[in-house]
Amino acid sequence: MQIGSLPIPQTRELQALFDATKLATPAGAQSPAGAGKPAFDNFLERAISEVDGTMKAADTEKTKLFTGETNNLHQAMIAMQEASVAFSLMVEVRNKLVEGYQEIMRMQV
Amino acid sequence: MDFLSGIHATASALNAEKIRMDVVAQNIANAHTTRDTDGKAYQRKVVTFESLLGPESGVRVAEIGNDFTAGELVYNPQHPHADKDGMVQMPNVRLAMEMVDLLSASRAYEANLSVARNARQMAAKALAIGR
Amino acid sequence: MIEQLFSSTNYQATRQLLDAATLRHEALATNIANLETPGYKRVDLPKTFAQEFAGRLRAGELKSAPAPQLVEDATRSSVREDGNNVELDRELLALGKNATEYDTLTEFVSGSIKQLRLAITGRNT
Repeated sequence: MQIGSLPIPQTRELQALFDATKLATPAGAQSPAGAGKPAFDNFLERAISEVDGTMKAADTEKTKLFTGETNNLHQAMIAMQEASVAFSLMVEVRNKLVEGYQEIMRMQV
Repeated sequence: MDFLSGIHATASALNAEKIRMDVVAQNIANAHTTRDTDGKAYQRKVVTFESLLGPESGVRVAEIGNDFTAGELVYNPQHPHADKDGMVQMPNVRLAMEMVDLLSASRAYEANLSVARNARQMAAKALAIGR
Repeated sequence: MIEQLFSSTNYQATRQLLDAATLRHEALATNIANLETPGYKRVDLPKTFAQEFAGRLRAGELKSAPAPQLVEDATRSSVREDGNNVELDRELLALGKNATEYDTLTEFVSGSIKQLRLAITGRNT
């Protein structure tokens, strides 16, 4: 993030705010596994990689069907539906996050 | 791509039963043929099946052989193919037998068709998962 | 997190039973195809399959279940002189029954997925 390098005076304050939010993360929220990363950050990353995993699994099933390795149409369909459910879960979480962010932005200080 | 389970077997069986019906038709058509290409009376053809194993499992026609049992000898001196005693060697085709064969072939054909229909319905159901 | 969405025992059992139903359809199709093959012996899922599956389901060891294999069914005696032990009407009945089971299982899976989607998006599409 190179906000500070932009030649607009207000960006200085923005950079400062950005740094402040970083510091404001409470120490207790650090997950033991993630080295210095906030727990929520970790959680999101893991969730997204899992969604990616279900997508890849669906792709593998499709390839198997195309190559004739299996004729289990249902397994391919189930894998695809699971991937789609996982993806829509991710999209909904994202929507909620953006909504929450905008709510905070609209807050009168 | 092979979405319908067992469709290979069904397709091979439909093919085999069709060949069998063709052969029955040929037998019935030649029920009175007293001179075949070899100069003798027509001999009825018999289809034998054998099963296929492995991924392309199913059935195929092993061979179309001749039925060597002797046909009827009919006294008919006017017949151009009559021998010196006036006897004619008729083909060994018996219409009743052929009709039975035809019926069982067409019944087997229909059974395989219903298997194919079933496979298609199952595939349609699988495609409707989550919908 | 995502795996937990689809890890209920019944859901997993339904998926395995769907595999078995597909395999059974294949067996019955092969049997009907070989209706007139001399000496052919019908194939099917092992007689013990249902029992073993129920046992694993109760014990909660579904994950370890091996994929079912088709075996020759020598128990059905042949009533024909060519040694073939396929009986068309039995096979057709079994085929219909198997297709109905398959339909039921796909409905179960569909239901689970639709319910999850409703929970996530609040919409039923």
